[in-house]
Amino acid sequence: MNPAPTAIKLSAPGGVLVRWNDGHEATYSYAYLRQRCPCATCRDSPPTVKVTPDPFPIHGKDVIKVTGAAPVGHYAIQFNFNDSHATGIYSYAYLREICPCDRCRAKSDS
Amino acid sequence: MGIFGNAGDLSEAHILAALQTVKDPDLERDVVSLGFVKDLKIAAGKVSFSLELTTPACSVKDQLKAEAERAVGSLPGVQRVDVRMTFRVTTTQTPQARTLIPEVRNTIAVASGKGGVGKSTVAANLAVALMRFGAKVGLMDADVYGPSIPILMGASEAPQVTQNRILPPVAQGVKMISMGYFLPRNEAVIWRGPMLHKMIQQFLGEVEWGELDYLVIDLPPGTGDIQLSLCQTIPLTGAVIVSTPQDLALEVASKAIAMFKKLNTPILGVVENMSYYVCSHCGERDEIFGHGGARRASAQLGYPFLGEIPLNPAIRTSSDSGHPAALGENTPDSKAFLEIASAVAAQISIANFNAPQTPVIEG
Repeated sequence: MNPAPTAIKLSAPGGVLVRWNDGHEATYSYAYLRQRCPCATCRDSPPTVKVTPDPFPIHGKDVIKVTGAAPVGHYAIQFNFNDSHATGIYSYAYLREICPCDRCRAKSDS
Repeated sequence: MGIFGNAGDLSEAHILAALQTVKDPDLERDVVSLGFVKDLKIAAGKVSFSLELTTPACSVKDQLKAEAERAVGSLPGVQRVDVRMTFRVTTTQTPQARTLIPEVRNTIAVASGKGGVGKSTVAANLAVALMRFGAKVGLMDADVYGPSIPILMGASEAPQVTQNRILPPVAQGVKMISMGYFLPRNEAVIWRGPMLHKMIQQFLGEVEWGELDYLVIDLPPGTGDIQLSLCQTIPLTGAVIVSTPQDLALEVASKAIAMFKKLNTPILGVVENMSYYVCSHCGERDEIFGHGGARRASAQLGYPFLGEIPLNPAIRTSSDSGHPAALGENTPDSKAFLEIASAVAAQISIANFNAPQTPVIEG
């Protein structure tokens, strides 16, 4: 079968850590994940994602963060973000496609 | 049976070692390593235990029992062997995977490429056949466009609704829910995606299914919102594809299969419906839609073939009168459905055994 995640840690250093059943492992930063939301709305108009904190964070938005996640059927994960966005269903195939690790990036650059 | 052995030498280890020669034919491993041997009791030369299989419908159940009796009976010191064959259906549901139906161990989607292949008849009779093997079964009619399940099962009594919980009526030993109960006759469902998605979630999350071994789900034909909603809302155990002899070969049913594969849903197998026609007057057999096409195509594609069902006017008349053919005693139709149910239960056993674990998600 296609590779599937075995474990997902939402507050790992650097973002969301995903471990796969074929030994692969990578960390997706929250902004990276949010910017690549596959939902219809985001594909249509890519979101502006808050990456740097405000110098005076009184009225400002929080820096983007993943607040929760749930499996979708046998094939995907749905992530909840602190900007109230939760409609993105990230299939395992899509997560691998956007995998930010060096190995995968090298493969896609070549 | 040994006469020289001392009964006091008999230990659990001896019994388990002897039982390692008995293999589950579907999972291809011995019953000891699979953890099937339960309640082992040894008392003065009498050995008793249960063999807890993963399916209620094992086609070689009697054979396994005999093998176990022989294996243990040949040990020195054993005078009597009592084997009880029981079952406990496996599930891939875990507490971690937040699911709407935690007490339903397996969900079986019955799908087809196009309409008119007899999908609902197969779904209803599959549910009844599984029930006949002793499983706790539910039947969910998700075919909103043509909800025929209440008629097929002879269950016109509407469900009771109490405090947001729907109590499913029981017909022919099976708990059921259908859009047919909530629609006035002669009214069509003209809904867009979000309404359909909501319906699926309600049928799963708000119906008091209770503990079920199998929930059979009758889908509308093709690949659409309802199929997708189902695959997104629950980790479906697998799909049974109903095809006429030509459908699979002509790739009509392949679309449905491709959809399930994309969503990582196991294909439990293919059923060839309307396989041939036997004349009720002269008994002559006519292969109106060809025969065996689905069997050949599924072999080529590498899917299990679950069985064939003939085009029999008797199935239709009993369906129309709400008496599923699977209830018959020793009729060719009931035998066909019982064999298919047995094959489906075996494939579920295998699919669950090989399924990847749901990912563990932690904060």
